[in-house]
Amino acid sequence: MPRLRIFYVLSIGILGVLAGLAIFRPLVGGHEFSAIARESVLEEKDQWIIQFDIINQEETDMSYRMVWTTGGETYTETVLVPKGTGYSHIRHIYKETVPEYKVNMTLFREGESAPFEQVTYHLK
Amino acid sequence: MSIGKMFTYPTNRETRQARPRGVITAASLLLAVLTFVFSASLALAGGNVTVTRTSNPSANAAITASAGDNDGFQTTPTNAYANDSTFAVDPNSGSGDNSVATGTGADKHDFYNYGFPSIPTGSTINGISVRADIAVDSLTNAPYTAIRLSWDGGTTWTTEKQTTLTATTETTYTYGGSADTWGRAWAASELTDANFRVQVINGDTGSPNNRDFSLDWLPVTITFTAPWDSYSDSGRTTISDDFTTYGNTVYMKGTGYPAGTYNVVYFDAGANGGQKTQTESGISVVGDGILNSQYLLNTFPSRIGGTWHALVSDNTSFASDYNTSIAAPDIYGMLGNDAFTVQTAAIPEFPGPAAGIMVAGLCFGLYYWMRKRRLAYAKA
Repeated sequence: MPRLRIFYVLSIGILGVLAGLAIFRPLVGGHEFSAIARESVLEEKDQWIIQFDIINQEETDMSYRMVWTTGGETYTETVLVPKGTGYSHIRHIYKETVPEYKVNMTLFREGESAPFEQVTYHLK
Repeated sequence: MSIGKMFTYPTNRETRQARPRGVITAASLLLAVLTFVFSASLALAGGNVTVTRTSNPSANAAITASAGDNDGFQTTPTNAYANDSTFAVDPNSGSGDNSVATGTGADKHDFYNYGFPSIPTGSTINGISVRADIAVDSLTNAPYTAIRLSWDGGTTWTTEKQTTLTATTETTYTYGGSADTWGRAWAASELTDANFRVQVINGDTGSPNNRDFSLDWLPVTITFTAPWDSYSDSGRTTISDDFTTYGNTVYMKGTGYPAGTYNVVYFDAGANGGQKTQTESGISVVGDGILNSQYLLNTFPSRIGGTWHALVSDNTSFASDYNTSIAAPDIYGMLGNDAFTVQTAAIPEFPGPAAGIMVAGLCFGLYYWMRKRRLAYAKA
C-alpha cells in the first residue's frame, strides 16, 4: 500500500474518532460534584433579589430540590439539571414579607434527606 | 482551479479507485451536517402559545319560572361539580312541549362560580369548551341536552348548542371547543364568577315528559392567549422571537396581569420539549399589571438551541421539562406561554453542529491537500 494512502486512511480514521467525540463526549466533565455558583443579593427599594446558579458537574443528570423559607412561608422548587450545565434561580423577596430580615434556602439532591447546601440570608 | 479540473481522473489505476471513495466520504459528511442544520432551522417557531385551563362549578341554581317543571336538576345538583359517578338528577324532565330548548317547556339549570384563574386582561379568548357527562333513562323520543353560556350573570345568553343523547349510560358530550367562541368575542372580565354562567337545558320530542336526565360532571375549559411576549431590548419596545447572537438577553413582558405573585420559567429546546433552565420566582405584580422578567442566554453552557419557552405560573413551581408542564396547566397554574427561537450561536460552548461542520471541512480539506500532493507526485 503506498505511503500516501496509509496516511490518508489514518487521517480519515482520526477525523472519524474526533467527529464521534465531538458528538458523544460530554463537553464539560471530569468533576464529580454539584455546586452553587454566582450567588448574588441585590437590594432594591421594596425588595431583595437573590440569584444563584446550580452547576451540575457530576457525570449524570441530577435532580435538585430547593426549599425557601421566608417569614413562615415555604416555597419549594424541583429541577432536573442535565450533566455539564446549570440552572439559575432568581427569588424575589419583598421587604414586607420578611419582618425578621431572615431568609433560608436549603438545597437537596434527589433522594437525599440531608441538604448539600444550606444558606441563611440576613437581609438588613 | 475549476471543480472539473480538480477531479480529473488520473491514469493510475490505484488513484482511480481511491479518489471517488474520498470524495464520497467528504461529500456525505458535509451533506449530512448541512441537512441536520437546515432541518433543525426549519422546525423553529416563535410567538404566543395558547393556554388551556379547566375549572369546575361550585354554585348552581334551577330556573324556576317558564322552565318546564321549574325545578331543573332537582335532586342533588351539587353532584355535577366533580367527576365521581354521583349524579345531579332531573327526573320526569319538562312540562308539555319540551322539544325546543329555548321554549318554556324544557327544564333549565344554571351552574356557575367556576373560579377561573386570573386570566390577564387583554388576553385573546380562543375558545370555550363545556364537557357534560350525562346519562338518561331511555333514548325514546330523542332526549337532548343543550348548553348555553352567559357573560353577564345570566341576563344575556349565547345561542345554545344542542346534542341528541346517544346512550343511556353515562357518556361524555362536548359543547364548543378550543377554537369555538360561541358566536362572540369574550373578554377576560366576562369569565369571572360574577359574570360567567353555564345553563343546562333538557328536553325530548315526546309527551308526556318522562325522561330522567342524570348529570355527573360539568367542567368548562377556556383556551386563551395571554399578552406575554419576548423582546430584544430592555425597554421592551421591540417584540422579537429570534435570538441569534452570543450575549443576547431575552426580555419578557406581560400586560394585564392581576395583582399577585407570579413565577416565570424558561425552558430550552432540550429533551421532552425542553428542560427548565431558569426560574424567576415570587415576582410581584401591582396595579399596573406589568409582569417583567429576563434571561441572559449565555448564562450556561450546553443548553440546547431551538424553540425555547417562557411560561408564567401563579407562583407554582413547574415540572422540570416543558412537555410535563404544559400537559397539566391547571396543576402548575399556567397563565402565559411564549415561544421564541434561540440559535445555537447565542449559547456558550462549542456546539455540536459547528463541530460537525468543522470536522467535515477539515476532512475535505485534508483530502484535497493530499489529492494535490498525489497528483504532483504522479506527474513527477
